[in-house]
Amino acid sequence: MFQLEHHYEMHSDQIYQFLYFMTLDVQLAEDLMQETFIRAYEAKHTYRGDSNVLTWLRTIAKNIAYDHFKRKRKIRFISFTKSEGDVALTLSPEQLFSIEEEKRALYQAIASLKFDYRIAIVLRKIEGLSIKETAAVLGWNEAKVKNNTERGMKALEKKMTGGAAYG
Amino acid sequence: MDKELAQLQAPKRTQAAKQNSFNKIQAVINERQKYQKRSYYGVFAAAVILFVFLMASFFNGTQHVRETAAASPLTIEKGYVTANDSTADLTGMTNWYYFDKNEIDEEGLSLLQPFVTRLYELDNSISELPETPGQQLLLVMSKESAAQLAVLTYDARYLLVDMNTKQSLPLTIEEARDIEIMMSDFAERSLVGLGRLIVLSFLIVVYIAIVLHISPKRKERLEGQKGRAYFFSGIGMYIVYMLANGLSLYYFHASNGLFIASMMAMLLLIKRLIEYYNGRFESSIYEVPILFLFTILFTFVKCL
Repeated sequence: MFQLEHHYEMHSDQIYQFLYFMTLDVQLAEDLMQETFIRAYEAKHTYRGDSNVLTWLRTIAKNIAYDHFKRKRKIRFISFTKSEGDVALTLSPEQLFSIEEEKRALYQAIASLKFDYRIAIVLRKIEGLSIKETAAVLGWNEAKVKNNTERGMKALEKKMTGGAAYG
Repeated sequence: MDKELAQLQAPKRTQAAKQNSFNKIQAVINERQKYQKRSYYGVFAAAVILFVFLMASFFNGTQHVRETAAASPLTIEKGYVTANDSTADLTGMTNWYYFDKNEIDEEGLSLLQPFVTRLYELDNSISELPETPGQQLLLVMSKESAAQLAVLTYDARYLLVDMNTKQSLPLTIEEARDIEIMMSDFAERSLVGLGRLIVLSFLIVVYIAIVLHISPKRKERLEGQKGRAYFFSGIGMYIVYMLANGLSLYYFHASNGLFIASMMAMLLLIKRLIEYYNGRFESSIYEVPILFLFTILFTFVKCL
């Protein structure tokens, strides 16, 4: 059973972190996190208890993030560019300034990934979810999770090395 | 690379920011609940109005063709071929929302005209109508009257019969064949089975796409469902449609698009009303008029 106050206290930081790495924008991640909990509250009757609440919340957050990019809403500090048929982020100077200097290249590389690669890497490598957990959140099969994570990692390494290793 | 990624942390949120965020969530939920309460009352009112509308369709337009005078022989203005069940009374078949009919063209009307003239001049009645289920029926209308005609075989003769007054006109084999060919032309001109199935499937797909577009909050719920759930809900909806169509055939002896659409829309409204009452607001109320329109379209194509 979903309880707003209790589960907000328990999971809001994790949902926020997930959304932050999907958007790389503090304010936007906070807004989408709020929307995630509002939507979860409104859809609490649909929570069937066959996954844990955090997995369910991550699924809702993923849908909200996906809808957000798909609809191409105007977002502060972020502009969109089309990349291989998917939406990639371009970090604004203000965003880059807020990131530690030695990590800027990595953030920029993450931002430039396709949505499917980025979400797989965020859940598997940053959030540390297992393949099974990631598959449950994304509604993919495990092979697709593995595939997108591997391809995403290759693309990330390629971007980090300026394309020298794979290019 | 794995290690670097594992060490990444989102900027920390302060306790005050967390509380502020939670307050915002609660404020939005409260605001939406107020809106949802208004939606609930709105849907309730709409359900009542639609119910009245539906009841009115029972009591209006029930003027039976049987009760009208026979067609004036010289002024046939319009003719229709109506499908099946020729012995049943027809009610309000001239209204736009009755789809079990095909308008007869000018050529067909001019073919029919002399037979109708002779039919009423002869004043030749038969004692009892033969049982001929599935007979195609001609509905011919003059300025203020209408008649139901059918070509029947009776005592090894072909007869053109007014199904209400039982007036009859003996036809030669050629004449009966001409009229039947004129009527069967409509069957040939209408959509063939496969074409109709394709158009109906297309309509269903468009309907589902529109519904999902206007009710995006269903996504979480639908994503958890398996393919067979969609299939069975589709079958369930078709059964409800067939029941509504059956009621229409029972009361009006034809597919009354307006009646079927009102019935479907009202059932959906009641479903929404129950959902809203239980605090489930993920489905948009705009689905109701969409269903109404698509049911009329669906019925129209199905009867083509």
